[in-house]
Amino acid sequence: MNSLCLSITNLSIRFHTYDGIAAVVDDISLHVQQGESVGLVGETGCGKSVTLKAVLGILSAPPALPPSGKIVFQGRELTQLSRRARRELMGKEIAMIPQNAMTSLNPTLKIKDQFADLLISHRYSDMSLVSYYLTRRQRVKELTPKVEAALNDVALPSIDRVMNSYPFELSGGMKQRVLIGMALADNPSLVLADEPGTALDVTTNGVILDLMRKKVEERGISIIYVTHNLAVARENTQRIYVMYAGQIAETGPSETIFAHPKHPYTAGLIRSLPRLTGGEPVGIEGSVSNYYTPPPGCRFWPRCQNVMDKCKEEKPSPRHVDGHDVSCHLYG
Amino acid sequence: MSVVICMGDADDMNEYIVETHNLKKYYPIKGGILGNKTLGYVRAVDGVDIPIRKNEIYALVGESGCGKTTFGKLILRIIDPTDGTILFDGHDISKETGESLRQLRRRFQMIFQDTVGSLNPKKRVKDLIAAPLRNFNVGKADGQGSRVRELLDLVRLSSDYLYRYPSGLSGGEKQRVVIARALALGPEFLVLDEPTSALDVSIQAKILGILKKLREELALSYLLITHDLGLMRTFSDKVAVLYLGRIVERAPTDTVIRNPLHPYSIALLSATPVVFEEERRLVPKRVLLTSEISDSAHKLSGCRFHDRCPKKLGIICAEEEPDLLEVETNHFVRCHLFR
Amino acid sequence: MPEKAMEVATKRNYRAEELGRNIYRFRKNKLAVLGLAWLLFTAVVAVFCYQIAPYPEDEATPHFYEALKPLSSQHLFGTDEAGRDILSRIIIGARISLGIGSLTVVISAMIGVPLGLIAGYRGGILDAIIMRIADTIFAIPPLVLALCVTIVLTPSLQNTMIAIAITWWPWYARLVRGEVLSAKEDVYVEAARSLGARTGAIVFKEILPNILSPIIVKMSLDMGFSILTLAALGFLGLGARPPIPEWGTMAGFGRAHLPMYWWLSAFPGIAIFMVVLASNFFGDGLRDALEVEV
Repeated sequence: MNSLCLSITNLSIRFHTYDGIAAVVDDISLHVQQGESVGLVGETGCGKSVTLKAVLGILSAPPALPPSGKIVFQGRELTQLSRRARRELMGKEIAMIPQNAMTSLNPTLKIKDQFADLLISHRYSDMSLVSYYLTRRQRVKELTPKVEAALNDVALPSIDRVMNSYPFELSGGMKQRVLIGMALADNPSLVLADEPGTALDVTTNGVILDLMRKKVEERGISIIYVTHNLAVARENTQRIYVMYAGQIAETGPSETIFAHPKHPYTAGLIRSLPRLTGGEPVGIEGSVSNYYTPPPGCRFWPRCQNVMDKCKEEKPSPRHVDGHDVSCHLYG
Repeated sequence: MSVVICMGDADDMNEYIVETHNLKKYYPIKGGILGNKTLGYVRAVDGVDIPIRKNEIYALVGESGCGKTTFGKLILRIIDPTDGTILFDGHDISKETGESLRQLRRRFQMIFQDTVGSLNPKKRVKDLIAAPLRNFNVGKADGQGSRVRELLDLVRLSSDYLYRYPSGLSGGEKQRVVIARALALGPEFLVLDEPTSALDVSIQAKILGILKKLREELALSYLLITHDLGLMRTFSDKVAVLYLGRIVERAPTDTVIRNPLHPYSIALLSATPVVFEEERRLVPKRVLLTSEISDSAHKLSGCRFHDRCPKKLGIICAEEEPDLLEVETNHFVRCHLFR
Repeated sequence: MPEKAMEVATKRNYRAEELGRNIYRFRKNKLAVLGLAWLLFTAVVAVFCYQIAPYPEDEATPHFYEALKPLSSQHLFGTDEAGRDILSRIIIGARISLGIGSLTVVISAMIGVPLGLIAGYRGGILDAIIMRIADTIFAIPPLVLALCVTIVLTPSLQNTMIAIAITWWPWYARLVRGEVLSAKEDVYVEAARSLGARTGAIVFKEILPNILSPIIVKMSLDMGFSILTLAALGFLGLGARPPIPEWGTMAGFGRAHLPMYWWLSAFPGIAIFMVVLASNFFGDGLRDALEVEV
């Protein structure tokens, strides 16, 4: 059944900094259906990581000001939830696969212990510290089969050895698998993958991405791939959002968005890619302007080859063109 | 415009700017109770022969730990080789040290992988770029100023940038400063170690454009070190694929993409995600390597790749290391499948 | 030339920006600002001590008929055993304490930093020698060492300065050595070397500017300790000889008249306390603002 898993409407996130208030995310809207794989693609500073953090509720505020707009997860408005209710969702219903496996695992605990801890926190979120320490041994034992099953699920070889190892004893690929296992352990409805496939070697990344795709398909999980790597997004998602300077420039099916880009920024990105077929990549002139006094109108106009007078004054609203939603005055 | 300083005799008949013969770098693994017994060696670079022609862009491709950065540093004598020879413009520089080595540094430079780290955060752009000039007393105080401006011009940065600190520069701007600085003394050869991996796609293309233009204008040669096959394809003329310190395949770039022979090259190519349909045709079906690089890789006998190779022939792969053979014109492969 | 003018304008811009950012961070720490304010106030007092002090001649002149008078409107802090106005002496003493205190720190740094640079960058035998000497000095409690040196050199204000400097330089050497050891591995040092920089250029132009922050922070924190040590030696009668109005000496000699004539020791003591506290707050704030680990 195709219900809406996540729906973000008119989300704006501003940051308080030394130089002023920066509008890092400006009125974006995106949605993910249940079971859909969606890519959120953009370059450094476009706001995709901040958006991710906002969904997870881990924005460091201050310096972030409370976001405006709506984030609705399976019918529940996340920003309205109490901190406790929010925490209950995290990890269980909404899970994250972090980018860097090296730093995301606790180096002082064995895998089976930290995994079990994770599962304990999902199940007994109200436990006091004292009772945690008193009952820990027993609970870890209870949960060990579950940990085994989860690690098995991500095709880890020699599970016993892995469970009793410390993170530094495992290779990068194995650590990444453990993290995926942790994310998927309690059957979340939504997974947020932060720059998947960029931290490891090309060959290992390929295998990890295949694994993720398979698992997500098997279980009908919705997943958002947040990445700057267009190829990774292209190969692992059904739909892609292209973000620029805190706004969504264009969105469309993965198959067509890069083959027939509508927004000048997307087109510029495409032209910059080095291809296996050769050719000369052409970049995009200029650089991202500051967000303290963002130019009125479309944020891309200073770098756009098709700029018109209207672009400098009026911010374009999304229009539906040939299956893509584009925010550009070129289309009316 | 730029000043190319020739040391020694100008032997223009030499068509190779850099040649290495059996270049090796071994790192001892220490162990024992007092930590001073040598248990074995990590063979970071193990007998690599690479000839780079003048005005050529040569790519060195491989994954992390294969030794490509070490090789880059070896050629520039930032590290000392354990064995083998390095010829720069025909002269053996493998054993140079001290002041003569320092003087040689004017002819070749490195663009380090960690761009951000390679710029001293406490120095302004103008001092960063002028530093090499000062090191060799090139130009009087004012002569340096105009040279710095000239260099900024080459990388298309305005003189606004002279007084900025690295913290005030974007990634692309930092990279340009690094390039300008590397060109200060008029080198003939640059080692580019992952020059764009930290940059956004739109900026990458600009930097590559600048590097290509500079190659023309200043008659430079490059060694490009990367793991990105797309970059390799658009930027380099020839490529050597490195695995655990050994070259496993060597050919013109186009050839390796269209007809990869070594199982590792095929695996690399097959794991490359692509955006366009036309590229997809060049990507072989995903090859699953049978395991990850083991920790005791330094102890392997025979072919380095045999423990992960999906096309392993048999015992021969584990016992005997294959030679690098020319399988077709200019296409060399190190694999028993092709003897 | 208009070009030059524009360049100069841009030049000032960036340095000011960097400074502004640091000042902003520093300002957020109220205690640190207070500390700085107090130190500046004390410095001003020290500079104009003879103008501010109500009885400047009391630096040395005794007035025995006025001895041991309690707090009054003529003598805000009372008088000491020789009838001298304590407030004036404290004001004049500020010059000594702050002056000697900072001078000692500067001398320690001037000895310790170069030694640390050599030890860290060169390594080898020099490193071993320098560090072993430093280790020996570390093993002796600083105050005891300063005491011994002072006694050996005959107690006087100058000699306490030398004594404290001898005691303190190893801390700077160790700090600098550690920083140099890690900075040595940084990429920009490698880059500098590959660009043909000689050793001297690397140490002074690449490494030193980057390790300046911890040194500055340490120096500001140390000022407090230096003043304290100076005062301790004075208190024990080994520092400044009377009638020099050094705070510690004053407090020491006032001990004999406790507890009835408490103001002889109390006010110098408070003065010491305030300056040391201020220097600690300031140093802490500086460290946080510059984001340095000392």
